[in-house]
Amino acid sequence: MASVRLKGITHRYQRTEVLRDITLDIEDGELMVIVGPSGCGKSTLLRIIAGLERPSGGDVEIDGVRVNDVEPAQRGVAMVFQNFALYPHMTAAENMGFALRNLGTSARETDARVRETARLLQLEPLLDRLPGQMSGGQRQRVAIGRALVRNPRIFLFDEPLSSLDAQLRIEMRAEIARLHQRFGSTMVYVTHDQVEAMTLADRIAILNAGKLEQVGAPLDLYRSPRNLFVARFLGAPRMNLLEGELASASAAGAEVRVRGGPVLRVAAIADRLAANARVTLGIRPEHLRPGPSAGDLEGQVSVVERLGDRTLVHLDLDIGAEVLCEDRGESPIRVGERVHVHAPAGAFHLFDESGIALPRIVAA
Amino acid sequence: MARTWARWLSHALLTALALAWMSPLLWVILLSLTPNEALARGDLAPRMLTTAHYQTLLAVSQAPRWFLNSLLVAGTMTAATLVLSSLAGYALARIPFRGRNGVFLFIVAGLAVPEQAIFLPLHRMFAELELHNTYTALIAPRLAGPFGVFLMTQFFRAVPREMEEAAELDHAGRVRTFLFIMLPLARPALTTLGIFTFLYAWNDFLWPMVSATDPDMYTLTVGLSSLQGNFAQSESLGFVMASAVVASSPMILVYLLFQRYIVRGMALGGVR
Ligand SMILES: Nc1ncnc2c1ncn2[C@@H]1O[C@H](COP(=O)(O)OP(=O)(O)OP(=O)(O)O)[C@@H](O)[C@H]1O
Ligand SMILES: [Mg+2]
Repeated sequence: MASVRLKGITHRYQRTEVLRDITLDIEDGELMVIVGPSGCGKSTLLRIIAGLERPSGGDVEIDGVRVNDVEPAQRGVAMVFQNFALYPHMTAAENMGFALRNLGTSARETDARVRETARLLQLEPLLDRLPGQMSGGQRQRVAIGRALVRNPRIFLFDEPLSSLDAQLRIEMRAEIARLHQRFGSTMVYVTHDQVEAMTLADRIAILNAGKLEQVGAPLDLYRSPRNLFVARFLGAPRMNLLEGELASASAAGAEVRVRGGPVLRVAAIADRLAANARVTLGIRPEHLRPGPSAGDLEGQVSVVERLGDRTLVHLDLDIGAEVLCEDRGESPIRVGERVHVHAPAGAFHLFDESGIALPRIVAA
Repeated sequence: MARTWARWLSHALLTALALAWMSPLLWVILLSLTPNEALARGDLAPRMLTTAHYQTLLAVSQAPRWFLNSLLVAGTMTAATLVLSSLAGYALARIPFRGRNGVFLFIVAGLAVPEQAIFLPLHRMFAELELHNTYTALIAPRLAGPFGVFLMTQFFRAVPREMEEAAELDHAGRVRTFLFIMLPLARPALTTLGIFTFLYAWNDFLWPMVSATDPDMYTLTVGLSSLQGNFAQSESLGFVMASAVVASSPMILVYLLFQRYIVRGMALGGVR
């Protein structure tokens, strides 16, 4: 087991800077999920931890030891690649045993360890098959098996589920969570799927255009996003945003005049902003409740999506904005109806002009 | 059924075409087995077949030795080309070193140099080294062929980078990665390259003819052609045909064994 520490990691490909001053501590036994949109540098960061890429600046430490100059194989990391990268001419058993054989482990012991791992992952029937003779999900399991056999200090996963279908993804997600619980190994898991991030992570690190936006436990990030990017990135469907300006601010809360609309009460501390400062109001769909009358905002229903347990209602507000709100599964709302929506002051998020979140007042 | 009809028709057409293309070969084989008297009479559908021409071939020439010479030259050339091309191709595709692109361009430029252009200097060089009439002279000039290096470089470039990185994390060093991952992956390309090199070497004529002047060092193509001059065409048709059959038999064998790869090789050649 091992901890990983990234200190001021910077990386450039030719001219383009893809990672900027990344500092991140991954604790021993932690499952850290790195999440962010495509091209933000997730794979690059993982490859730097593995040693497949040398950072342009900064240090990588494993268990407190600087490993910048340590060969990938000597770092005690195992990686599951996005495209699995199984050796196509080797059977599953040979794929899994390759590292052990390279280390000089005897054929008998290699075989025993491969079998043990195969049993754990229910891979036994596949051991004699070539990757070309397996389904995507089976290949994925073999790739995990190949990483597991070596008993690495650190597991690195690069979007391991992205090529699987929805159902299989959910199963494999649970499988990885089980593996993590069982072995307690340190894992760094890269994905661009925020649901995967929320469900798997001990902590999430949100990466955007090469910069860490926020690091924390999934629910902390969900409840208290530090900025607009994090607020919009976590949560599906996304948080609604409304432009406005600050009407009043005090220790008890703030009032925001939504552009072209009413003044809403928000449980956030906005003292540091000037009066009439431009702000953005955020509200998650599940907190925005529709009703026939007496809401704060009013609009016309454009789309109704019935998911069974809940109903998503798309609303064209009279003030010109579009919002999404949630109703119960048996919602009577129809397309074209006029609907009022309302949210409690404590459900709103408030962001200043540069997108930084203002502190929220937590109800006692 | 229209579809069965169409299939039947296309099969018939293909068979006819195949026969048309095979007829020269069958014709040659038939002539090589026809007695001289029948040939003299102009009887091209003889009752009796004979192996006399083959016996003459063995009696008057060193055909078995030439056959072995050819086998040795073509075999060594093929093996050496495979080893050199795969090593060079891997290095050019995957090992970063200073001047790599320049080296690659230089090699590719070699593809544009016709063999005839370097013929004289090559001949003089081997003469100065006093290497003519040796196996070295027959084999060495062909080892630095750019095509194999080009083919293997392109192939290794197309192997996903992750494959090698996985091997690196799996504690396989450069050598083990090459031997156990890259080479097995390259098998189709290597097979194709091997077949083409072998066929090329087997059919090679001009260089062995000028380099090997001692009959002991003739390759089969050179040796058999040296015989043909000694026999007047009309009365030795069967003999000439018999030597043609002997000369082409290994090639036919290679084609039959490796058909699949040859077709693939042509496709490889086509896309580049
Ligand atoms: N070898 C390379 N040379 C030049 N630029 C590169 C190279 N590899 C990646 N990049 C660039 O670096 C940036 C980050 O790439 P990276 O692969 O880390 O993104 P990612 O977050 O993993 O994206 P995805 O979710 O699509 O896998 C991208 O803009 C990419 O174009
Ligand atoms: Mg990636």
